Amino acid sequence: MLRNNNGAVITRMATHSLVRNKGKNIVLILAVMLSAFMLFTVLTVGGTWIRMLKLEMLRTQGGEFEAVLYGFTKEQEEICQGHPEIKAVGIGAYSGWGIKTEQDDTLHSIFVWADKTQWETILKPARKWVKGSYPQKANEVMVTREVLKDCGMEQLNVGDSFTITYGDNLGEHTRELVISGMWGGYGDKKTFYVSKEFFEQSGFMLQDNATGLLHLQLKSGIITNKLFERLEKDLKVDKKQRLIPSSTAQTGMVYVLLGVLGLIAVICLSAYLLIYNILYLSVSGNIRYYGLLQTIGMTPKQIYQLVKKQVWLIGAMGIGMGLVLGIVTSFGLIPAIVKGLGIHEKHIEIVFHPFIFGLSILFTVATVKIGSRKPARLATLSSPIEALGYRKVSLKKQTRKPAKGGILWRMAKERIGRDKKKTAMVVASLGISLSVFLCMVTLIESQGPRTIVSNYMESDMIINNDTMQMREKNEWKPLIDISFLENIKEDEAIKKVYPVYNEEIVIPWQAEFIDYWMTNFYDMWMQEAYDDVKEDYQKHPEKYYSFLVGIDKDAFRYLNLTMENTVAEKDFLEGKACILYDNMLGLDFEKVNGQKISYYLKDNPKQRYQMTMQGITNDTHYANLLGTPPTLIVSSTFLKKITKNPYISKLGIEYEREYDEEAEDRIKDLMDDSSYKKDFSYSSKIEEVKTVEKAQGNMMRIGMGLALLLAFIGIMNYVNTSVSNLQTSQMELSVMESIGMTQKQLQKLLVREGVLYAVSALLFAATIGLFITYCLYQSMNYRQIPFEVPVLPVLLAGATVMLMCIAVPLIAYWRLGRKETLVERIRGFE
Amino acid sequence: MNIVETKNLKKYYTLGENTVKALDGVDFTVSEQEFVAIIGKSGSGKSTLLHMLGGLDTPTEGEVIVDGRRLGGMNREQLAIFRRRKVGFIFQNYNLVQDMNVYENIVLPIELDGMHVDDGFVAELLDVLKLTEKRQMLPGTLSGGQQQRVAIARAIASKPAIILADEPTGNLDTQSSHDVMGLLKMAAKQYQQTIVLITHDHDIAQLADRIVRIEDGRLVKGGGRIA
Repeated sequence: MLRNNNGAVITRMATHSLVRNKGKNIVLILAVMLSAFMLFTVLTVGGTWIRMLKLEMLRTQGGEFEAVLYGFTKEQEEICQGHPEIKAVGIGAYSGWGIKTEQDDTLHSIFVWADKTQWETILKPARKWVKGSYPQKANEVMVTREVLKDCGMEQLNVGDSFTITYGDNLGEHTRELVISGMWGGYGDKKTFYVSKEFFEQSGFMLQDNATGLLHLQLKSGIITNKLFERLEKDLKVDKKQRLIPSSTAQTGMVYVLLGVLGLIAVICLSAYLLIYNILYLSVSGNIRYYGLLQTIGMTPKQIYQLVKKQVWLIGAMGIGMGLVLGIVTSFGLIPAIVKGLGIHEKHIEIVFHPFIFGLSILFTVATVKIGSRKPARLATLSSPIEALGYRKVSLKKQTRKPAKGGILWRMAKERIGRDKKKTAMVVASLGISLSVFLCMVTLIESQGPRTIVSNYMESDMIINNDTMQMREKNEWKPLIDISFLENIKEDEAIKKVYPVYNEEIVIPWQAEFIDYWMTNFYDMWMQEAYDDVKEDYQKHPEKYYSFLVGIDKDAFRYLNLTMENTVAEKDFLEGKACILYDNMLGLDFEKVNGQKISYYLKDNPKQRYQMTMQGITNDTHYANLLGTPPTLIVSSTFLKKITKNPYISKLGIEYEREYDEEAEDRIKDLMDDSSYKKDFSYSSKIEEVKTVEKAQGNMMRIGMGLALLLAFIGIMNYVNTSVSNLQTSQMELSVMESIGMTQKQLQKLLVREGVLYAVSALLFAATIGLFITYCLYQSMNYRQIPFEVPVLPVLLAGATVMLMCIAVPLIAYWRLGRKETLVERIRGFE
Repeated sequence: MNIVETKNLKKYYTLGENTVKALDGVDFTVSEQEFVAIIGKSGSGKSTLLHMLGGLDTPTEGEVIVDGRRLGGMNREQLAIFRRRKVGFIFQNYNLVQDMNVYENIVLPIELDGMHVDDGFVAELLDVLKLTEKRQMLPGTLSGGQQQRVAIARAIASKPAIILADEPTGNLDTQSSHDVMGLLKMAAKQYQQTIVLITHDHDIAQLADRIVRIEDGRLVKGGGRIA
């Protein structure tokens, strides 16, 4: 059979139809355009974010690796080499530190050996240029301009030699080194890269935590929690070793990828709903036209092609416009979103990969294709009989029992239940946009800056005495003394201050508890074993001094609430009981509770004190001064009794009014006026909030923008359905009016219909939306902030949906019916 | 006593530069419990006259008085209430609500009026119109004649003063047409209702007490009372 060449006429008809139904088609083009635009934006953001994150990580860590193992055995290295999920294994080894050159006697440089993989695979992407070659001999080094400058020898070049004094595990050496190569780029630039021979002469061992570093480049390029745990297990990482993911942002990458996929799904679904809905309504509204085409000889296949052609014309226009809009807006929008997602690079290079264009087009085309399939098929099902004016009667249901309830509610339910699938789509569309809003507002509000930024005991500001970081007590300065404290307390805007006092103590060796503590401490934190120093500790405990931390009654009460057990307040205040700082050792409370501990002040060895340990805490607020033996938290009243004017290392300040910038400025002035001005450091809730707000400000705008776009699609869906429902039921409503339904009753009917749509959408959001929000919230809830839905914005959104659902059919009815009389409306459908 | 009265009733439409006179000074009366048939060619103005009587359309000039009330002074709201209490409409294509069953369609005007449905009366009506067994059926499953009987029941259910029927047999075959008309006449007589019927079928018109002919928007002499 010869092929009937009717393509031209179908295309012409499709084009005419497009022009004829301008209004509906503009909405369709807009829907396709919006989905193409949103898909393009989401994909570009995803692509750009991943590239920028990798770039940022590459620049900050100076190489391309996903995890580092500190201190490793030969066996672990071999496991890594053969591990199916590891692409490359590079070794970096600390080999010494610079002390002085003839030009400079305060060097800040280190010596590192990098093996071949480390230098040529792991570190290579971060290098911009290289001159010369990697050191092979013991006296050769690879340098950067920066390290030479640090040594005061920036004029040197490849082939030049210089003399340097450096230290290693065997002592200090002065040696002449030759520059075998130079490099520039990103990473630690105050490093001399040395040969394997140099490292072997340094006395350091790869197994040492602080020496050997195994850099792991993974095949996936992303380290997930599961993969990390698997690696830890496979490598049998022991307590002393550390396997650390190269950046915590890495795990964030998984969330961003999941987010991108989730957004693509939501966008496609919303767009599908809109496209399907409009097309369905358009085709069902034109069913007689298609029937008529059949009566004049058009085959169902040709009608299918006709509808499809219209859809593809619309699709092509929409996709083209969406992509152009995406490209145009991306220069401003995408960098803002990417920065909002935590990238700090100044210049964001937008990824315009053909793959992203392809994927955006593919997703949109798939959505349009799936969305138009059924409506196109519907057009072919229209019979010529329908075209002649007969109405098709559904014989699916023959009888119906009379429904109960008020006539208007009953009719409203009937009307929205008529086409359940269509109603479900409209409800889902509105529900999805409401759910996205609910999700965004809950996440932003509860994970928002003011919730996240909370200091110890809600302090608005914490001032630190930096001089107390000095090893020798005689270097400490009384930055926060009584007069400073009084000055702050006198300020009416200050509600409360929480000073943390410190005093050096010596804890003589005690068989049971000190052994238990020291064993755990050395296992966790030290390279050497406790057994190596045990005897020395027993003989010279003063060499292993520690600290008392003094806190006031309020701070004690607060701390007491955070611990698993409670400490007797009276005992604590009288100096009979103390709380042990755990120092991340994970000590067994049963082994600590009730143990007596003796100590004396380092300045006064004669006077011994004894206390019972009744509690154990890991709150790092008390961890600013730590010794090898235990740090004990005691009452400040007691501390002041046993020592005169103990130093304050930290001062928490709470304002009468939270975020009181004026009060904070006065405190800053006090610090500026102090003669120790440079030795203060502080953390301020106001400043942290500002930083977080700056980072999250974009997120808020983007999140809300997305919710608004989806809301727009949802509303478009509803408006379309509402208008078309009214159009198709205009005759019915006119008949109702003719048999006595008043305008008021009609409006009440439409209001009820709107209420039913709104309630259904709200129920959707309150169930499915809330469930998804809760799951998402908990997956991101690292700080264990209780789940709470922000009532006001959600109520406002709910009220808006309700109003919109009620107003749209009323407006549509008013617009449709205002020009015609009842007779004309009835006649128009006859 | 006249239940319907029109005085110099005019309805003009403007189509481009032309003015179409659908009704051009119609003076017309209908007595209580009278059955009047209006006949005329297509476009003669008979449907326009019926719509005016039912308050579905507004005249360009003149007056319509139904059951002593002037329709010209009523707003859209008042007209709707007037219709559901005083007028029962029967359309050519039945105009039943497809999602409601026979019973629900019949009681719809009563429910819209917020009145109590007299189930005894509805049952009687169903019986008279031979619809008892179809009570729970949806309109789409009924034949044309059956659907028109439902429309008649709906028109009578609220016990209106006047029934306006616009070509009620237009979509029916001859047998069904006679059945429907017989039942309409019988029911109207039983419930003492006035009927104004539009038709172009002379056989159907013969069933009326009086025939009124309309041509070019004017009543033509020659229609007459049938004894």
